[in-house]
Amino acid sequence: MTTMILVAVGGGLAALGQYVFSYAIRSRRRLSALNLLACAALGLVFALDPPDRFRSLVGIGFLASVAPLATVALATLRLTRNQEYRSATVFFAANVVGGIAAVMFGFLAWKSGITLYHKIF
Amino acid sequence: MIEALQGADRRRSFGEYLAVTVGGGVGAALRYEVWTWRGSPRWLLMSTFGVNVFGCLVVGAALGYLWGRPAPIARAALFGLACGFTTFSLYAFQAVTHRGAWNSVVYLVGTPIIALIAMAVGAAITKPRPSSIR
Repeated sequence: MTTMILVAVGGGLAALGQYVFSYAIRSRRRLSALNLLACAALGLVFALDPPDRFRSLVGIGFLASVAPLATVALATLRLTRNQEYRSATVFFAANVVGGIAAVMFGFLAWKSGITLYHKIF
Repeated sequence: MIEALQGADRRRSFGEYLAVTVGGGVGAALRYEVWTWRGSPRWLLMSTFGVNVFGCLVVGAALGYLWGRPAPIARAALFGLACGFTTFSLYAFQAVTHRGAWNSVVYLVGTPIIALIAMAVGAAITKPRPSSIR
């Protein structure tokens, strides 16, 4: 039950943050940057292997909610409706491919950093 | 989501902020609840796929229904629910860390495309037709 409450608090804060700062993420580039940043941060958080409560609040709650799939789908549909097919395809593909790359970057940055640290010291 | 859901140019009320926060909290809790129904790694993929597709269908349907109506509180609650329920970052994370290669590929390609179609279908079903608007 505690985990669910922490996830709900993280999700609520992420939604509120998106709503309050919505003026700053109107363009597609900024929206993509936010998505990729959230993906990289999520990869890093899971690589850290933090305590369950931290993972629930920050990882599954906040970072998972701050980059919703609905925004990507909605922005793509809007571009399609405006007959900007090329922009829609590029935006959609860039987010999917970039999101996966960002998660791997966040995850591997920590793991390889630890390995490097142990090799040097 | 942006202008369609938020109406960012006007002054917002306390009720809208509250609706966004509650919507986000409820959406995230629902998503977590679905994950915990089973414990297998495959279920994590399937549940995230289902959550994202269903979430996009609901958001599309709700946006179609709210087409042309002011309803600021309902839009704010929908915005929060969409933020909390659907997830892009966890979708990418689970696709990368799942062990079954083919399952990962199918999940990776299938989720965003089917979610996109679901949102378009949802909006098309509930959006009022031009002939019905007077």
